[in-house]
Amino acid sequence: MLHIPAYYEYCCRVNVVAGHEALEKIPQILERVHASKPMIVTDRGVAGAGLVDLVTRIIGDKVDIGGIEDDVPPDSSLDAVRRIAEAYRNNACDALIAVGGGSVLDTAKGANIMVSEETDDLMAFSGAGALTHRLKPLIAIPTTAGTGSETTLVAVIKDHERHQKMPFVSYFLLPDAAILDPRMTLTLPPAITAATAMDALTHAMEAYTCLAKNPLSDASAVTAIELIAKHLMPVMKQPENRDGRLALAMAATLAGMAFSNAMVGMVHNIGHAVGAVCGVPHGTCMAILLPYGLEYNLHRNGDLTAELLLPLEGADVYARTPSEKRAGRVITRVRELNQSLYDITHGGHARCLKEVRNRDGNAAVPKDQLPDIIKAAKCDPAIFLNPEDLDDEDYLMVLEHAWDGTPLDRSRIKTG
Amino acid sequence: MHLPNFMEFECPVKTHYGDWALNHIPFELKALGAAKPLLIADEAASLEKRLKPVLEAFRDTDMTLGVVEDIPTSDMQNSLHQLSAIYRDKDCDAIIAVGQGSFIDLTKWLNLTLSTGEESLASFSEGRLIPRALKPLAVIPSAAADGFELSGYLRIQETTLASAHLMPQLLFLDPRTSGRPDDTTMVETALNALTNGVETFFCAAANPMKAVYARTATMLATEALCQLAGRGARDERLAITVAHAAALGGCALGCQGLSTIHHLAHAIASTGKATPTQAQSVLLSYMLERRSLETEMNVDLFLSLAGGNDRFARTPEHQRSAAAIYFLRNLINQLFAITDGKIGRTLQDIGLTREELPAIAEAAGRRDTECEASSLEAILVHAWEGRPVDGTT
Amino acid sequence: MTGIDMELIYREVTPGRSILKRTYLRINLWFMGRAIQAASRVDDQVRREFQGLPENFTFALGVMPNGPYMVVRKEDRDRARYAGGRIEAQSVDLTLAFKHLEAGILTFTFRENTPVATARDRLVVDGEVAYACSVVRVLDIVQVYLLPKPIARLAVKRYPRWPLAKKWINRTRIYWRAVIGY
Repeated sequence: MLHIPAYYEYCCRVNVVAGHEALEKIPQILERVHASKPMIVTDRGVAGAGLVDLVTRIIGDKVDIGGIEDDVPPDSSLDAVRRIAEAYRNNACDALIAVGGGSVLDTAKGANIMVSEETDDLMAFSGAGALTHRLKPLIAIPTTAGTGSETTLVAVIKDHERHQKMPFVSYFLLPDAAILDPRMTLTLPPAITAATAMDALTHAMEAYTCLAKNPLSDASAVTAIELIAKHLMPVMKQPENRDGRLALAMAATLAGMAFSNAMVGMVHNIGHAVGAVCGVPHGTCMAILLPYGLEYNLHRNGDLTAELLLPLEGADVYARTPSEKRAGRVITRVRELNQSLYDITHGGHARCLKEVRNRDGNAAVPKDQLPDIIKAAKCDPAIFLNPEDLDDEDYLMVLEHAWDGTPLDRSRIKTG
Repeated sequence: MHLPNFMEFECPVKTHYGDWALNHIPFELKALGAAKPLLIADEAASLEKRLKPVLEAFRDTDMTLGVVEDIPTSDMQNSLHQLSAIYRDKDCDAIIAVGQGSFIDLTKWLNLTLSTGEESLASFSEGRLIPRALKPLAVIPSAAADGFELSGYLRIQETTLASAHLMPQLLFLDPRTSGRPDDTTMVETALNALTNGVETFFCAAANPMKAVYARTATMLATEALCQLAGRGARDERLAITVAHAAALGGCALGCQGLSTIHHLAHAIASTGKATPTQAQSVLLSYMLERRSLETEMNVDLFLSLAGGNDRFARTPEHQRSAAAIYFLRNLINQLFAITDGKIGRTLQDIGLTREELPAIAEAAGRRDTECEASSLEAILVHAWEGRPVDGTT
Repeated sequence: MTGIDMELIYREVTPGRSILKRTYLRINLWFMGRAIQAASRVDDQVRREFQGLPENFTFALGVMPNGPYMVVRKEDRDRARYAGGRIEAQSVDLTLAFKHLEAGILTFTFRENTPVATARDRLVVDGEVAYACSVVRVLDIVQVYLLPKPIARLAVKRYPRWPLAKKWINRTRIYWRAVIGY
């Protein structure tokens, strides 16, 4: 169904190259952007998985690789940005290739600002509108499916000295190309495959149901949901399924296109807070909180949630489900998906906050930290475009249910 | 949906649609580093006074614009020379174009010339790369469009260049500048949009990224055509819906979107008997029908785009493709009536003879990569007779 | 244009300013700034929001590229001070700016509330984005005080259920303080 707001904007300037041999196109892409000596930016985890070696093996004889920087921390840092920018200059590189997830890409974007603006003061370019011309070529090769960060015009760099997070917002930060090659996610562990796919599903669903939706972001979101619904469980059962991996990669990028234009809502708002306070991976937060966000907002956007039943479960289920029950069915289906992922990962994919374990095997989200999570959520602007407001009481209610794994008591939702 | 083994998609266009869209132009130009745009308009835009709201959008910005309007496309070279000279002499740093069709081709040519210093298109047709960074270009189309305005195609006489870098960076669709064309013109524009949307969604080179624009263009175009055909109440925003559909259809087309229908339409138009729009409108349902025989193409999805999710879902799976084709043919038949036959139901309606069909198929076959000439001829015969395409085609 | 001589005519246009609309916005922003100052002395929730902001935190709301703006600065522990309408000479930590004058008019004539203006990309939020939530909550509370319910309901996402006495007494106090500037 077409929903056309009174005004909208939509932009995705990234050249998406996707396929079973997409990596092989990198030399051609570099030639098109008049670059010949790229610096590869990655992290130890990606390098350790052999993915950087795969890239260099494929492109190494056609491209003069200017260096490999694999020291990007989990939270992109100003130090790492400076180091990479210096290495870039010293090695006379002329492009950047980011192989990894969100923080690798953010770091590469930050380094790109420094080398393009020929500056040591990254802070001077923070915020929106500080960049006014193209940066050096940047190619993004995501290694999860995924954050969609290859489509976002935002980078967040942490200044550990000043304990500050610096946001950078500009269309010039978009990568010139995003390479989606299933070989990059073939060896992704099951729990991460599940979490990152649910991250993508959340991007798509929030983009479709929140206030900034538009027809193009809707089209991206619906296609992403179709692909995830069709391919996630087959890939979980058969991880070496390349077609499925490619489909999930495309879905993640499409979901990224959707949310980078239509933004997100309370699932990300609360999810960011849970991640910041308790260190829970983003995808895990998204998977757990998605049904709660949809449930909480039902009185505002239930009709939109209802429409998602078609891409999520197909025409037969959609046709058989009475229109007033479709939104509820979507929420149930998301919960069922979480259950299936929990089963197939033998508990590795958490269904609720109390099930999330940290590296030591302890509970990652103690119940007594819920007030801290609420405090953090109240500072996260992702709530702006959620259709309904949340106050402290509302946050606590949602978090308590998400912690327990019980559906919301909708009679407690305040409607103003 | 069908996923290709390999795909590449790029769309540099930033879409701004809706109320007060024009008022975002100064902000967007500033974000691209531009401070003195050259505002150019074709004859139709000048006649319909479509520049006034654009100029008003710059109030309170203290920006100065250069303005040249009433630009003819009868002598493109002359217009190009003059505009290039003006742009350079007056230190402009961006182009805002208000118009449609060949005027936008002129605009793209102007941008290429200014950005590369090369006026001749020959070197580019011979393989010279079109650079990424052309001058900032904003296009403000109307509801009278040929559907190529936002594409990556630049067509000057016999030369056609294709590159994503030729696509305008900025698109502004505002009800104040969508114009007030007559119904037949809007029907033609919407059909151009529908062709571009459907072809890019259902052709062999389809991919999910392109489908974002193709899907939306198809839905908008169908919505507009249904209103124009008299199915349901007419929306006051009909003209902007048509302009919206055409623009997004162009985005879907990109620089790799020409398909069988376009090649056939081009060959038919070369006979001088019909316009590309008339040809495409007839051929659309026959091509779709042919593709429905190849199950990978998911032609049944057209039913959800055009008829809505509920209709799609309650139609049994094996009936959906046929229902989609029926929907489209019925719509074309209604448009035949309201345009007084200008939009034909068959190739015979638009003035072709059966004897002309083989030559048309051969001419199209030289450009088409999807179908051979013999298949094309078979499609043309069905479209001439008005007989549904079956498994023998 | 037809004929042999197809000389194109170039002209330059510098569109002027919309005096009435700018004046309308200037007045509204001026009053809003003073109302925020007043609300920080009257409403507990507003005070709590300012308490959570850093010392001397300064935010501005206005219209690009040439204003008008309102600037508000935190002072003491939990109060706000209206710091005038010019951003040039001040250090501003957070700016919420409408991309053009008409966008500001749409919001201040209640056709597009702040969430809708954000959704429709009319607003740019620049600076210390983490504190934007507090600022928006303050703006919402102040709008509920300043505007009659039917209009305030358009301006905010969820109209709060306050005791009538609180609303009317505080409303009177805020209006009075905003007018006299204290």
